[in-house]
Amino acid sequence: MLTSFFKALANLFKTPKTIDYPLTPIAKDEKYRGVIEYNQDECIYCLKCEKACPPGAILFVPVDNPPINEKNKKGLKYHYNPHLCIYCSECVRACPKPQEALWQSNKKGHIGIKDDKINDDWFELEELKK
Amino acid sequence: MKKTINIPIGSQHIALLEPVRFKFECENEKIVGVDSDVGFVHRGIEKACTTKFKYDAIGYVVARVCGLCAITHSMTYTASIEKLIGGEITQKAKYLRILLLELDRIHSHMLCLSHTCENAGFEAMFMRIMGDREDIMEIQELITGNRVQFDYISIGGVNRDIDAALAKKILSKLELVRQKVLGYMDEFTNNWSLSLKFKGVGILTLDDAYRFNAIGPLARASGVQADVRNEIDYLPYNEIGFKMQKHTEGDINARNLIRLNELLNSIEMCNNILEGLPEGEIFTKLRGKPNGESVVRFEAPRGELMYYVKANGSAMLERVRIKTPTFSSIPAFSHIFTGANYADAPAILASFDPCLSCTAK
Amino acid sequence: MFDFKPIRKKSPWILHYNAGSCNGCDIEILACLSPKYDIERFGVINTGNPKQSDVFLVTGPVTFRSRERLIELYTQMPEPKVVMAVGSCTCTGGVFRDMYNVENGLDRYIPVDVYVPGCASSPELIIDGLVKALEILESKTKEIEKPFKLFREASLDNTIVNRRNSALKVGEDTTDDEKN
Repeated sequence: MLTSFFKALANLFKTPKTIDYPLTPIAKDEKYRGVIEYNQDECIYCLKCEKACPPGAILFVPVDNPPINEKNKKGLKYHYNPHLCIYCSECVRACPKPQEALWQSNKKGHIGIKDDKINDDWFELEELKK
Repeated sequence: MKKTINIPIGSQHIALLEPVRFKFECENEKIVGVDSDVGFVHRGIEKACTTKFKYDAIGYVVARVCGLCAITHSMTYTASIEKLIGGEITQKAKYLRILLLELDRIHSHMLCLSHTCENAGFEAMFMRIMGDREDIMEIQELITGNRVQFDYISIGGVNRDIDAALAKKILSKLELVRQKVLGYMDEFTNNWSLSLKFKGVGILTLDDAYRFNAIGPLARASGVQADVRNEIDYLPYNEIGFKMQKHTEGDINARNLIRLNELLNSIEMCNNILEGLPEGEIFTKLRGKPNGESVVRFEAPRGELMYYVKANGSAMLERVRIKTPTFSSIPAFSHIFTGANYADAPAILASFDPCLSCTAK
Repeated sequence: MFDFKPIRKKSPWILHYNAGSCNGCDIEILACLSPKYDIERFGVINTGNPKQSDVFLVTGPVTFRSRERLIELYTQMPEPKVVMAVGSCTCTGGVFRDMYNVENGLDRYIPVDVYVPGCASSPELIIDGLVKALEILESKTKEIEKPFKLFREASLDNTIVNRRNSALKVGEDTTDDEKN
């Protein structure tokens, strides 16, 4: 009983372990697994990343005004959903040009609110694919 | 007139992290019968492994069966596919796999110890252990990139490498954790009010452990000498200094001491690996498709895990069957609860360390 | 009358329910209450009581067996309340999309306000989501406390037939809302 009293008194003068999160930002390592980023000009539209993704978070869908690239023969556009992705980076390992067309950054996903309609829009894109 | 009352601990409760429903039949504070209901978490993974995913993506799906023993599931599946395809992986990849398996065991045992203390009423110990566990999570983030689900193992080796500067940082952090764990040993054995709650409560005798087929730390606390790490040969455990722990009483105090001793042994094994890491490649490309049947067993933090895989030469598998450790311990649970006081029920439940999402996959 | 307005936005109490997840996101919520990322300094307490909480944290793709308990907890929480979906599995189904015992995401079943991504989501993202949920809670509080006459401008004929019709319509609206 007396030892716990002395321990509590000693703890009063030590530095706290808490990091004051929203006010002091925490720096992330550069190899942290964050969102996937894409460069439209270098892509060769081989569709290997779409077949390699386990939950299906990358979709190439035919649209009306597609991006202009000489390899894009069927008029496809790249769509990515950070709320379906599991951040395993299988797509980066399957891509033939891994650091120029598709790479993994160390930023985190954005927080969605009700007006973004995350789930409803993705169901529409899956319908267009079939 | 009925003599007994039914009291439920339902699927939403503040002492449980997972949905499980127990109905206790009590007669004046002593529990007389138990009725358990698992199956709230059933998601249909085994069927989807044969229809929706190809054999090289299943390693990432199976890791999401459970968040605490994620890398053990992934490792056992990959070992069974490598047995079917044939081909060798390098020594360095084997040592890196063991390093992450032991780090996973350390953080899972610390979570279980702090949860047991919280259910017994000692909230200050819960905060202390969780604060020291953050050092281990930082080590895992530096090696693999994420704190809880590390997608580190793929067919043929591992995904990322460790260099010399990183190894030195990890060794210094592990030394800090080891000093704290020696402090907890002192606290768990000599504190008088904790011993009233833990000693002599929830006893499982040696005969009952053989009769009800108990596995894992539960069986080792009653005197059974069974550990899968002694019996396998595809990972080099006998070169790093693995020791099996044993106690004979079988109450909650013995289970806590077994987990603490396993923690110290795991820290020693990690130190040995980091100091003697060989040179070499981390990934070799294996060619061919799997064909035939194979069975692989491994030791998760809660007991023995077994996988059965059947393939026929194409990219889709025919059957995947998973047997998880908590599923085999359910008869032992129901036996220990009868005869105990009702107020001890949360502490006994937390000392079993149940992982319900493994049970109903 | 004692004024609750300045107190209500400053220390929300949370209610946590696991609707079939792998426990990864639940461990990260428990780590938020531990000394390194301490949300108890904002006044947040983890209670198990739906009648005393403001924010509802759900994890896991919603399995068919846990739907009944989810609806009971959601209707027992008093207004104003905020629903937060933590993890990729809860937002859209994650890896478990199109498996046979799973609904694809929480917003097929109850209305959701904040979506937090990640597998498993880190405590820093959960704290960011909680701060955004507090802003939404404040705007909902202001909407409820608007004066009654200004709010109901459209249906001003206060006759007996109109009051009976609007009472019948109120019953239909709530059952449709819960099944969405």
